[in-house]
Amino acid sequence: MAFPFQRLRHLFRRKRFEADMAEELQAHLEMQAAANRAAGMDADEARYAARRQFGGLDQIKEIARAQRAGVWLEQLLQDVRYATRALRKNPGFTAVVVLTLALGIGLNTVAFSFYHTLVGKPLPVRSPGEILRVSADGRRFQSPFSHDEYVDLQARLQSAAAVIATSPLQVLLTTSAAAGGRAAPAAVQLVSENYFTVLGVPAVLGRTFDAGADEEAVLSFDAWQRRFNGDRNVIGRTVRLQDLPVTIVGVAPPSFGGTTPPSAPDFWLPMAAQPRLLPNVDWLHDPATRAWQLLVRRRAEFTPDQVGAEIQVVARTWRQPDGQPLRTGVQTATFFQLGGPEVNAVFVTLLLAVGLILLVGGINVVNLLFARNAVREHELAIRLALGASRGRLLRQLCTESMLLGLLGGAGGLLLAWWACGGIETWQTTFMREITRGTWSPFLDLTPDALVFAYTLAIALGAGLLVGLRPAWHGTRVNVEAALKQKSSEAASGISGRRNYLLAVQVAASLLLLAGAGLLLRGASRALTTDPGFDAPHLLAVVAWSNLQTAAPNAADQARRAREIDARLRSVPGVVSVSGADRVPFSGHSISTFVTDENRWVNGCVTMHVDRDYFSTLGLRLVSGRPFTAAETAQAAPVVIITQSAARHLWPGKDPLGRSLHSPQRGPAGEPGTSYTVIGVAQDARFTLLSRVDDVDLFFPQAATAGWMVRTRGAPEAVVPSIYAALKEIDPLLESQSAVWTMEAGPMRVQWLMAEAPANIASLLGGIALALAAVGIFGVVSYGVARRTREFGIRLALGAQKRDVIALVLRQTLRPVAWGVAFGLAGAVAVSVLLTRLVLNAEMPDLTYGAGAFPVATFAGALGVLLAVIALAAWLPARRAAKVDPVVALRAE
Amino acid sequence: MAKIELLQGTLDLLILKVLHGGAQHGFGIAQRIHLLSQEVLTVEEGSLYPALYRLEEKGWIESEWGQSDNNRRAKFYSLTKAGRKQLATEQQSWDRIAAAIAQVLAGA
Repeated sequence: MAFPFQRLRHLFRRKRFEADMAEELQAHLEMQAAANRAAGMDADEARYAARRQFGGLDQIKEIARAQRAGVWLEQLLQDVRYATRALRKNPGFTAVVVLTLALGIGLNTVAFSFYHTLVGKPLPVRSPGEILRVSADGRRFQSPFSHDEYVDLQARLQSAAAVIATSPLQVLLTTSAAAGGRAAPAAVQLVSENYFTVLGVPAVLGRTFDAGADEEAVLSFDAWQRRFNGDRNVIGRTVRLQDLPVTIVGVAPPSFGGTTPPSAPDFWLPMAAQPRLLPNVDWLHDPATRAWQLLVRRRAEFTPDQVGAEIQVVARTWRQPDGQPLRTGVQTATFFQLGGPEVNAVFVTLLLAVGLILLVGGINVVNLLFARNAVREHELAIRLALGASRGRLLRQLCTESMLLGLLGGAGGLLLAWWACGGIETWQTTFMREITRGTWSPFLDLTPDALVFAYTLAIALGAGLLVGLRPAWHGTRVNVEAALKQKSSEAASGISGRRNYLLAVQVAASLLLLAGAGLLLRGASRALTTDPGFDAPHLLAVVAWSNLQTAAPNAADQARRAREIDARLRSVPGVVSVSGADRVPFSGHSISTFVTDENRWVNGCVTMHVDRDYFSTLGLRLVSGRPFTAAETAQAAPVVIITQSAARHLWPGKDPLGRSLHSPQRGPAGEPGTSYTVIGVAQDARFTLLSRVDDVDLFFPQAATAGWMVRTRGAPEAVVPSIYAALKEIDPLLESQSAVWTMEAGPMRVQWLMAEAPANIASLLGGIALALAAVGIFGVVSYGVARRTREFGIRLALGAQKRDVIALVLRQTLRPVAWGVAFGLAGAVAVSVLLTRLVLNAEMPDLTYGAGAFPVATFAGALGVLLAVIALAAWLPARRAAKVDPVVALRAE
Repeated sequence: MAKIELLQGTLDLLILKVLHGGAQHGFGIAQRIHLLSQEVLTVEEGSLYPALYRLEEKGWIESEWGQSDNNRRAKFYSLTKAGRKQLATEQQSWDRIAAAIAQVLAGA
């Protein structure tokens, strides 16, 4: 029995089926008539008797039709046809509903696109689930391996089909033949020859590497557009990278930005080019140099854990520079390699917020559908009277609302596509601006299949949910009353339910507004937070993005560093210079230490600075002394701590003279060093602008590659002189260095981290409020229109206009009050949650210490909400008072 | 006589049984049931045709156009092999149920 085929066949043979059925029933009728004639009736009577006995021919046909398989598909198509016709007849209604749904669904799609791209998006390669990143310390997946280890792994790893190696991105000098000999920085990544073939990324123009090539380069699509204007003749052209001529052999596809997000390189070169590209270092043969990040493509029959275990076995013979064995780890590669509970918390919040907006908009749509069904009462009543089942009507009304949902989903996709494009462009230009054109992150928000599926699911779900209650109510029409054209109270919706929906809208809007208020307050506090050091006069100088390209050995590096240090001090406008291995707010390192009272302390922020650090940053030493020159030169085992650290490590005692012990063993296995506390500095913010770290430790070290510079006047004026000074030392140095003012660089990023959520939340809150206001306006207007006669009577009987307006407004008072109550409760909960999240050290405090119950902020949000709602309700209420009693009484 | 309501499954059983005796069109099936039941059971067209289409969907009967007695084109239904098996099964269970009911009525 080929049932599925039968169903499809029925669909196509419907006409034949109808004709057959009609003929069969007609035949039956005639036979019955013949039997009646044989029983003695005359011809006419026989026919009538037969007809009467038969019953309703069409009813029988309808029931018979329903027995056929696949009839639901026919009915669905029929419903869709009716729905399309109905929607086309009411273009205004359709437009409003579709726009409202499109807004809500579009926002949801954008939020989900972000989540999917940042957390789950796979690499744009063949079978991305098979690509694993390998880390050398089990934690960080950028931790590199040496070339020997790479070769070893490639030879011995059985559970992987291939191993590829990539270098971290560098910024190198290019003299591009296309740009007329001008030098410009370019990001180059060295990769193993099998890079493109193993990943399954074909060249969109030209080809990828040939075996044994070392002077070939593959161009990224973005670089092809930006630097060569998409010129198709770029294949075969030679460019000079760091004085090495390379031939461009191919262009990568537009969706491929490499495997080290979020940055994308401009050129890929084969590994073999390294010695000529960077002649000072040897990444291919020096066993102590770890420069290569590894990815493996596992064989499909092995799980990532199995591959990870095998890698650990192979790595047992490898050694870290301090003699310790490696602890490798693997992780399935995603586009951004983000994740973790903090990221999830942020996204859950975002998705909830946009979900609330869809809810508020959806309630507006529900009200509109209720109103529309009230108008269609007559039509529905006739259909019921003709024998349609309630279920069938319900299905048809739901099909209409789901069609509206689908249209809204399509509109939402358009909106999301536009918004995502805008976000991509904005962040590209913004990041380029901040990093002086050297770093543009690769954020690809184009919707893929999963995002489409998500949008479709939400669109259908929203359509169904908004349509269900109105449809249910619409089909419970009192047939008799509707046919007599009496307007029915029931179909237009009980006011009780309307009020509950209104309360929900008010609560959701208030929640979003309060959240926006919290974040706005946090952002404004962020802008006024004093970091504790003299930020307006500070510059950060980072020489050599990659120190290993500077000089081949440690002695040379130290000499170079001293040269730069001396030169910096002589730049006019510079007050003070200090070496520092970290720039505030630009990443930090943490370690574990043991106090001399045997207390283990985790999460200590460590910085290696020279003796001018505190005077350069403008940090006061509250007790003790700064480092001496000797201590800095020899990296003596002393340490300066902050006041907060003193409170944490030795509460209530004097920390001077006490010691901290590092539990890490030395390379020969000897026990770790003990550091004596010689000074206490005032507190300042080093890792995040929103918090003072528990424990900050400063260790003495001569400057190597990073300096903090304090200027007399505005730091921006000194920047060009610093670049000029670096250029004098070595032209290559100037292009590889970066000079940021603290305020325009790292602090600006910190401020942005506080402003961006605040702006987004304000936008969402504003949208929710606007939707709620429109909804309230509609509900009150509808109510006024319905009760026109009543108002006319009241006015005729002597009521004041004021009284009528008050009557209308009082109706909305109760649901608004409930909404405010729930909204405030929710806002308090959110506020408490935000403060709890902050306990995690890695999360910035978005409220910037405002605490869990900011009364002024909530009061402000409430005030805005009430003002807008009052206006939205008052405008239509005014119309109630303008009713002309005579006209109202006449209208029936 | 007051209308006796037949269950859907029972009507299916009767139709299968009638067709066991040979191919028949809708009118003929209704007539035979009426006659065989001593004019007690009258099958309404509104129940008959839906039942016939349902049985055809389930594959227990199949249909074919043919000529009726008075040379009228009509659709004839006949039992399939599966239908024959189904008839036996349903007749068996009907007998068991009827016997059980009879026992309860006699004993209680």
